[in-house]
Amino acid sequence: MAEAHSPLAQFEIKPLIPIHLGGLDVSFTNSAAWMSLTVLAISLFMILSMRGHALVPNRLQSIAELTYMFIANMVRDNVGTGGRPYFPFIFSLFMFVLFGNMFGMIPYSFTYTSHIIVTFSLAIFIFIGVTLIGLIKHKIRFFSFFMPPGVPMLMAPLLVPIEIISYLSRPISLSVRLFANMTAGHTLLKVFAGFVISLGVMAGWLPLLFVVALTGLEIVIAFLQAFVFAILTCLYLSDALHLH
Amino acid sequence: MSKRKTPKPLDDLTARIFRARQSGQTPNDKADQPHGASKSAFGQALRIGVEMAAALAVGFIIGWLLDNWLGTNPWFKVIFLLMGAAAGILNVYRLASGFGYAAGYRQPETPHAAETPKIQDETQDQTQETRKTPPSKTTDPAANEGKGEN
Repeated sequence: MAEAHSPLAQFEIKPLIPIHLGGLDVSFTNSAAWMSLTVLAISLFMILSMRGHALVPNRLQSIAELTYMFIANMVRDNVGTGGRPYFPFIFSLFMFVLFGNMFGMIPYSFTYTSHIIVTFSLAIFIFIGVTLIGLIKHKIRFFSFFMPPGVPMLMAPLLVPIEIISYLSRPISLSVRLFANMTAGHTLLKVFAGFVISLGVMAGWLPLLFVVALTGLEIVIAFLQAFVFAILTCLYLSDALHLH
Repeated sequence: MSKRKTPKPLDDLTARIFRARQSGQTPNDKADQPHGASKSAFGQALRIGVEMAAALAVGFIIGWLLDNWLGTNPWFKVIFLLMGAAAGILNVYRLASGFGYAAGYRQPETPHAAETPKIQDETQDQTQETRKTPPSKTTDPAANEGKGEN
């Protein structure tokens, strides 16, 4: 019973359908369930809202078109016209993170973006993909990325490892940012919600007000972090395509 | 996004389509500027912290792997932790001086800005204006330099 009140209990992964394949635990967990639900919700949202494809959009279609325009502008501004082939990926990524964050705001739901392994998998996939795109586009010239021009060769043994570390830190900072924001926010919410109960009727309304304000803030952060995740992907892609 | 809301007569349709096409083909100029989200002080602070810690962690992991492989405990750890710190500071510097979100290498601005960090800040507004009249990437920093030193 004590665990149920822990602010970290909400991040627990529980297997819903236990599956064991040759010593590997591949159970269908609550995390997987919420991810599936998210994908389903996004698909339904996009398909149903665009079903009418009217020239004058109704409300739902407007929302879908706005999100499309939002990401299309983001890709265009940050990557340029060369980024068009990657628009579907960035759009899917943004929607997946956004819906995951937003579903996490529903009480008793599970926020899969609050797990570092989920965000890190997304980030490492982006990182490897972007590096491969850079390698394919620029062949061996890609490695000039790590050696700023106009630097004396004497400095190269020091500068190149630093640049490489800086480059390798991208997936980590990308994933940790999303994970830390979501985990910290949800823990804070739960802690303050716990105060409401323990302080009772007399003083409980004070943390309750705080929880209301925090919920608003958390919704903003949920959107902002999805936006940051997508825009950083755009910028990394832009670096790989243009090499600067 | 608000284009749809303003129904104009159709006679200037060609011109409007042309303009829309033009705006649709803006080159990759704006990538250097910081974008919306983390403009708030708190967001900026969080980003700087994460950026710094990530580079340190990568440096340490590389050092740890090399030490395990070559059995040179703890020397690579020490060297790469220092390099990670340098990379972290580099990341933070690039972020704070407004070269955009991306950690990693950015061309002409970086070496120039390393010499004259103060001036770069003052010309930030001017840079944003000059970006609109699309200059070629190579002449841009030269123009900044001239402005900054006057």
